[in-house]
Amino acid sequence: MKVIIHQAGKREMEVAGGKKLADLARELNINLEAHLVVRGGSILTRDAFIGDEDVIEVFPAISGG
Amino acid sequence: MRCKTCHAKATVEVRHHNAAYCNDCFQEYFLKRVQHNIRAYRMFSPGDHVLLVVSGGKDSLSLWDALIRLGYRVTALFIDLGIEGYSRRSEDKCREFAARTGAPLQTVSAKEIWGLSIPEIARKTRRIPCAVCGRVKRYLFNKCALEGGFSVVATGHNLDDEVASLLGNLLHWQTGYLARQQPYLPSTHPKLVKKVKPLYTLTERECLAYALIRQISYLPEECPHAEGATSITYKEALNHIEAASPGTKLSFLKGFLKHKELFREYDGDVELRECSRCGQVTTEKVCSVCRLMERAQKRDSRTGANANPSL
Repeated sequence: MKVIIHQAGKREMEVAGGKKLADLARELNINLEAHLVVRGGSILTRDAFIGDEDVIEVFPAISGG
Repeated sequence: MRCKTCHAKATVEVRHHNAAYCNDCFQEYFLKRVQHNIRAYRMFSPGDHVLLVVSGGKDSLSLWDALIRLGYRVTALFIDLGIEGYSRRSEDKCREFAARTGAPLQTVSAKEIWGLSIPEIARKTRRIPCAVCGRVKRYLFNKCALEGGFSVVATGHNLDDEVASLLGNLLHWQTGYLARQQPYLPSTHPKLVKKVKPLYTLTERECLAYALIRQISYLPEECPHAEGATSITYKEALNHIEAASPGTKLSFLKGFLKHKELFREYDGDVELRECSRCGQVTTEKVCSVCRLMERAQKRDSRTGANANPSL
């Protein structure tokens, strides 16, 4: 699957799919309390299954100042 | 996961309420929380004219959208800090939202008032830009509210902002700040407008979800001066705890507000008066912003730069 991370610009990576979002987040060290993950314009809950062909986008929620 | 309200497929999980919602029910939940917060603290009423400070980020634009949908009378205020590139992009997002919704937007520029941007003032006075920025923003939104006849100023501070401040104030035992930290700051002088934070129980993640669902075009980038800010470290630490123990952030803040009286003695009685130069409220003869600008402009004239001390 393709993972697009919208943090300090845009970063893309390829990761093996076939797992739940909670497992993927653990693997990528993404805290789901501080990020939202979107597929096809729809926000995903942690139990969503991510397939090998999926493209997901990760949006950070934390801002400073 | 199913929506707690309508049992459709859920999109947004809200673990601290042990709930998940579909897009429509999440918006209902978000609006209800904002409405509840406004009423619980009697922040303002439907007849009040609210000045909402907007930055172009997801929090203030989501609050702007929510207040319009809830039927409040809101005018937004964008404060142009003169931060190269960033301020222009922030203003563009605010203008885009105003054009899309037809909502009123005012702008005020530090450079137009003092002839200096925030980074320039910080450099000339050898201050940290974030410290100058906070002081100048509070000064300007109070001034704009008074001049525009607004009874209340609202900001987009959310639960993460509040708990990060709380943690920082506790770690450094800033008892004076602890005594004054609350989602509603009443007016304590005729020239000091009350300040409110209607998002204080909603997380940044919930504000982001609302912005994405509502397709609000916000500025995702950080202020270049916020890089490495301590508040971000505190937010990350608190979110690690939150992931292991959902609800910690909300109970931390609510517990503090419940026990706030413990810090009351540190909220010293101060005599408020009007600044002899600009007329804004201060505890000194000359307010801290006028003193800051005087130092910046003196330095400007020594270096031969062109300052515009027109306040």
